[in-house]
Amino acid sequence: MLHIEQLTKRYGSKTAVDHLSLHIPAGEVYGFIGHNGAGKTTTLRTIAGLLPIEEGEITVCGKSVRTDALEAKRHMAYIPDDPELYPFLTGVQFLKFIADIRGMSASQRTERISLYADRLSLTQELGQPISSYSHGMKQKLAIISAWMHAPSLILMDEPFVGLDPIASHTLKEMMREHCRGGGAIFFSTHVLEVAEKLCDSIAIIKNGKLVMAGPTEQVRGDTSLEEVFLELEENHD
Amino acid sequence: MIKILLKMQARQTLHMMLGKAAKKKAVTLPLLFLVLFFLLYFTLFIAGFTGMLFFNAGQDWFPSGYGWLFFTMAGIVEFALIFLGSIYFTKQQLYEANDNAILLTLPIPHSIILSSRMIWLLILDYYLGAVCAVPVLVSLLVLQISPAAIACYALIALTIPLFAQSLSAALAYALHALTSRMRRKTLFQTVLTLCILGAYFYFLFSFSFESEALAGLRDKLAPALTGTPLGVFGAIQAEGAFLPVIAILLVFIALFMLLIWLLSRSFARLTTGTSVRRRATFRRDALRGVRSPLRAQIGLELRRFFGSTPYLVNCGLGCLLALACGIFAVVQRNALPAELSANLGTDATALLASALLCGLGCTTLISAPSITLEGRMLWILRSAPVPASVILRAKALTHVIIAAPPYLIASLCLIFAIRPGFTASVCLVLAPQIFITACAFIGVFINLYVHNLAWENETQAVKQGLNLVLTMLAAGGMLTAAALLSLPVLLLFSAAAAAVVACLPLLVLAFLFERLTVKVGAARFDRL
Repeated sequence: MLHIEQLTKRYGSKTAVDHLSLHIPAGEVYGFIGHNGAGKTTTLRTIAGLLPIEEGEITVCGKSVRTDALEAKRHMAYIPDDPELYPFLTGVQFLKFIADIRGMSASQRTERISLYADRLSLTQELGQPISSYSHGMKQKLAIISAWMHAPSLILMDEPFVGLDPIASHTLKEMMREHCRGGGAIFFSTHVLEVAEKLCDSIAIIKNGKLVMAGPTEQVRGDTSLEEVFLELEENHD
Repeated sequence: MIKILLKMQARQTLHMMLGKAAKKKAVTLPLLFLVLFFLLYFTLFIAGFTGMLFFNAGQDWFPSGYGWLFFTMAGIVEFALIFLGSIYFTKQQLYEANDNAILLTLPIPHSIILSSRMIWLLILDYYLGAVCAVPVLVSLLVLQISPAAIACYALIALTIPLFAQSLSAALAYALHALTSRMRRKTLFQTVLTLCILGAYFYFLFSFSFESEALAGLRDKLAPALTGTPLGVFGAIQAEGAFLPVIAILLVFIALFMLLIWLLSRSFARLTTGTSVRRRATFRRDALRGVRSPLRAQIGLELRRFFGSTPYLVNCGLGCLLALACGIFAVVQRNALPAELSANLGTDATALLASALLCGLGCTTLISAPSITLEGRMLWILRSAPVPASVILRAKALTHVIIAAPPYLIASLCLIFAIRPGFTASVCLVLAPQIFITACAFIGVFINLYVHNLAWENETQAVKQGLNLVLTMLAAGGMLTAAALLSLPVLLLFSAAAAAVVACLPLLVLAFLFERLTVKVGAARFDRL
């Protein structure tokens, strides 16, 4: 589903991502954890096509993000950590816009938007301007806009920030359903308990380098993910 | 603390004007020079106009015993220029800036936050005030009016910005409170702004440089203002009465201080209060109606434009002026257009009218901030499977869709008023349309390279960008090039032929910038 080969990303003299290689198969919820400034957001933004690829290669469903970005983007959706949305649109206008640029039919969009808006309890707010939304509501709207066109790969940067417990629970269910249906999810989080319970596999990044990756049970071992993470942070200092 | 906040505002403004170039010293200085040059040009233009206006008025009014009217009108014009320039900027800076929330959480007294914003606004106000007051002062010196009267005027001119800012902030408060409860607040704000602007321009253009018109104006205004506070305001300056002038100064200063005190007590509530609006119901059938990505993007841009008063007024005003120009030509067709046609010929008049409409087209800047306005929402378009060329074309086409109808109506009105020949008529319609199209793509192209995506309030994005200045200059350059190319044809052949020749470079440039935008610009967009 997602292949990252030797991805390297530099900002001037700082190497944000250093020869990162990862493979995320279909059907997996893949967690991406690391300290602040480790390179998680840079990696996600590069996969999503927001940042140019200078070194390395990324393919999504066999399409290269470097050479065939448009095709690759058709197969994925991206939700940033703090989704700024168009304040002059209402929720439904925004979703309609996304549906139009994603080429969804009228029946598809009506069915899916209604479904996910009901699941995330946002239906009553869709007629309101986005400028009146709280952070959590914007997050929910971004989630609906990502899910509604049924992408193969969903990229999320800290998706649980700002969501209430019910919405968090619903999102986790949606993530599992998406992967059971043949999709894949690659998301970053600082909440290790969520990563431990939700993810099939986990990758840990430190200072731009991948320090550990694999199935969650393997990464965690006999301890907890938190202990593994802290130990890795200490050993690499 | 105020110094720190003012430095932050200055940095924001610099970033707003120069974008990423602000970080590169080698680029910043030339760009700053360009901005200052343009600012100086604008200042000298307005100051020159004001100076000539008041000099001519003074030559007629002082000898006829209406010196008080001169001072009254000088005060009104200075106040109006400052007030108009600042009311929406005041509303956005004081009550709607994105960093209000952060600042309010810090241990900074609200009065300090408010004062720093007010000082920044006052800098703008004093600049606008000086643009008006300095030429008036020069006129008074040249007319050899009494030193006492001049001194009184100078003192009043120094405090009018305080009064204008007080009124601006108070009205901005009322507008913010009122519109936060409205559903169609953009429509309301836009209509209000246009009414104020319309009244201002009507008032300003009632002045004329001709002595007969000034005498007529004097005879119309003097009876209306005699005995009123405005009349007394002018009279005490004309008499050089210092004590009443000082009393007025103290009143202006006291009003300003009172305003700061009042606003600082309610600043947090005003900036963080949520609007209480009638809730709109979500209807599932609103999801029907499938559009192509291009149409969807155009729809988005149209909503952005019509949903924002600052954007509409600052970048779309040229459209309204063009329309006003056309209507004026029809109403006054037996006056100015007829005179020009009699002196220059109908085709040459039509050529002049084309140039005028294209000149107004230079001030229609709808596409110029369209990349900047994406701001922190750029990720939506960048992560979508839509070619950058489609997005950029949509931004340019939005400009054309909005501007084309009013300019077409203006062209048709001018044809009706001037009655040129067929060729000149066709050019009078085509030239502004081609010019607008070229400007649309120029604006997008320039904004791809000169932008600031980290703006704090939308007014900054549509008012204070170097991209806006560069787009206007580029459009002006294009118009100048077309005029220079057609001039020999006008002199050697005919006005109709010159009109055709003028259209050709515009057509070439429109095509060139369209190609540049969708090819080179698309690659640039993909790297933003």
